[in-house]
Amino acid sequence: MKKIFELIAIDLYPEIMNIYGDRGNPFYFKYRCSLYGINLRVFDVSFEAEKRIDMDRADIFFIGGGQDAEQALIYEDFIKYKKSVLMKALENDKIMLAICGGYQLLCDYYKSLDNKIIKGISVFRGYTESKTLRLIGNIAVKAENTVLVGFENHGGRTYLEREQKALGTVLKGYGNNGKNGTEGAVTGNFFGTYMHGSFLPKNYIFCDYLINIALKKKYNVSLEEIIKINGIEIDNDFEMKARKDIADLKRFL
Amino acid sequence: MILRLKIKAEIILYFFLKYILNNVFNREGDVLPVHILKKIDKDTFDNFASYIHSYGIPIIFVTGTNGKTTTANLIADTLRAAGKNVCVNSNGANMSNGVFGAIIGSYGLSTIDRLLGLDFQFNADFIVIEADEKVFPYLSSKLMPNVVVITNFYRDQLDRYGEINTTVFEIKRAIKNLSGDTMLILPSFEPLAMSVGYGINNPRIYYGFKREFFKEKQCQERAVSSDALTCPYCKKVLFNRKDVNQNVFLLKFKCENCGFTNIEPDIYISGYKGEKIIIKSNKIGAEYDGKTDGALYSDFKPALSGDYNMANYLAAYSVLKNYKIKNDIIIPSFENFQTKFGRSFKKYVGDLEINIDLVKNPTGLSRVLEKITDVYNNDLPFIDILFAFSDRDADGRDVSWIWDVEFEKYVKDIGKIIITGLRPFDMAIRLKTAGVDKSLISIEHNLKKSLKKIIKIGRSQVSSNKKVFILSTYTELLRIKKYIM
Repeated sequence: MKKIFELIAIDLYPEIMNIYGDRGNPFYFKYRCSLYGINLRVFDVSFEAEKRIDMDRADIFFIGGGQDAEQALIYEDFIKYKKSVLMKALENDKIMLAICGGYQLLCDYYKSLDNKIIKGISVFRGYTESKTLRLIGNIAVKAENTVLVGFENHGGRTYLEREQKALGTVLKGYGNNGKNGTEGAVTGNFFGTYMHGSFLPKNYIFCDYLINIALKKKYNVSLEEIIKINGIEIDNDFEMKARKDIADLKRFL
Repeated sequence: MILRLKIKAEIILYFFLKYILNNVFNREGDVLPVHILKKIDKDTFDNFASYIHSYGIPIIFVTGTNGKTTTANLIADTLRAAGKNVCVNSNGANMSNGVFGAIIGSYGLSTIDRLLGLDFQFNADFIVIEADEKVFPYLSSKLMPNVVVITNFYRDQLDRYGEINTTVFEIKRAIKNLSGDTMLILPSFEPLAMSVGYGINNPRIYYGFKREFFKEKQCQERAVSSDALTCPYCKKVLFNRKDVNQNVFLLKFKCENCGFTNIEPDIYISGYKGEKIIIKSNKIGAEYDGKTDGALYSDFKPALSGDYNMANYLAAYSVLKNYKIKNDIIIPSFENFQTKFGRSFKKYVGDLEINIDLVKNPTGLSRVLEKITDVYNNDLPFIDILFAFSDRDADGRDVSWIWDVEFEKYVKDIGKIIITGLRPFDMAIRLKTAGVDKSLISIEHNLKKSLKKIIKIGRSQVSSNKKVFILSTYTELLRIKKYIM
């Protein structure tokens, strides 16, 4: 008999922090879970405390990018109502995927074009400065044994502290700041990146990697075992070919 | 004003190049001739612009994210029906080169005398310009429009333009630099575009909808959505409920912080009368029609479907009323309007109706899906679609926008899908994630073959109203046109 697995995701400020289709991440994560027979329940959590869901129950958090104005709008709420939950989640090896503006909020601070400081929650040690010239284009990043791809579009330049681990090294594109070849950041199971795309549909292997972490944490079972238990065959045909269609990145894939 | 010799030479060169492109290379030549002129004479735009000012012809600009081409052509066609000569960049070539191409192309030699003297005359009583949002400030500073129409501001090609708030800010600043008489024609249902009229004293007409228009279609989740999440005025939250942004037309909105609020439209669609839509205004007819007997009223049977096209009709109507064009000219023009290729365009191949729409951003594609799945327009159980989806510069290089389209809402209506273009698999993943069965999706990289396939699918439909839908990004649309027309 098939075993039922259930995971809980929280999508933070989905109506505000979603500028370049970042909601594709929870969508695709849910879709991918469903292929493995895992039921993913997604809760949108916006301003203040959410009453429908105890945020401590979440296995994974998502946050996307936003325009400057929108980022400025949420950061007070973010620090007041979300910081402690996320810090606890980080300690408990829960997962977070933060894109672009969301990623910046997980760093120490963000300095906007008009020199306003937006404080972050310091999950990642480093800061961001905004510049007028935007860093735009397809991007490929080497992260351990895999190549991650996406589309970046950001005015912010993020500089990580020496001890802060980056998500990967830029093969093509700009990454954190267009200078030192780093892209994104990782602390525990919290991942920050500038890659839109949406990110997970473009990187199904990374998506599976996150699902695996969540399953191990909650059910002490690996994705590989689930695939066996549930007798699943996955067809990644579209996903593999979609990556190969990105003309700029051909020679890195 | 007599044209200087250099200008005459440039006009001749323009027509020569355009002729070569049209006849030798079989291309439209909306942009390239001007590109070459500009290489030869970098002041060419300034020179033409100063002649245009000296003629004192009314200049109407249409800008915004979606609906520019249709709105500009509704205005231009109706002005022509009123007996006016109109200069318009009708094919949607809306960057500087396309705009000045249309202007230079409106010069002509009308009489033998002029031919002998070789003096050109500007053959237009009105200039109607569809202006790209990003180029608007430049074009506006050169041509100084008398009327500015804004359709809406949605997310579009952010890889090229950065953030939409910045674009709107620049447009508003450009309008402030014009004379304070410039008439603004603004939507009342889209906060970001509406905000352009906030805090400035220019004369303005707001166009919009009354709730009854949507009620009569018995549908609560309607049409006119918005990307404005923060208040355009004070930057605080305007909506913090997801569904408000995604599904509900914005008849009413109010910023709790600064009081920025929707404005009751001056000219509006109030509802249906059979197949006709009713346009009204609470202002007396005298203001718009020269009549003194009561409020403005028109009804007509639209040639276009889709609520977003009703908004285009309203915008055009507001402009035409501003120039006191009579209803007996406007109504037949609106009812017989022929769209440009890729804008609610229909073509018959035998008994198969092929519908072609340009899709370039989430709002546009959502509205097209809504239109083609609407039972009012379509009695087929499932819709068969060809997506032509590419990421060339003019399409926007970032394909992530398809994740912002509510495909989930339309999965039950979707039949067979063919996908072509440079990025077909990204679209395939999006559809698969939305719940479209993989077996319904097939990829065909070759455009011509993909067209043949969708036509074959259409012909095999068991229906007396066979229909297929082609939804295409910009560069693929140009290629499709060659095969279809």
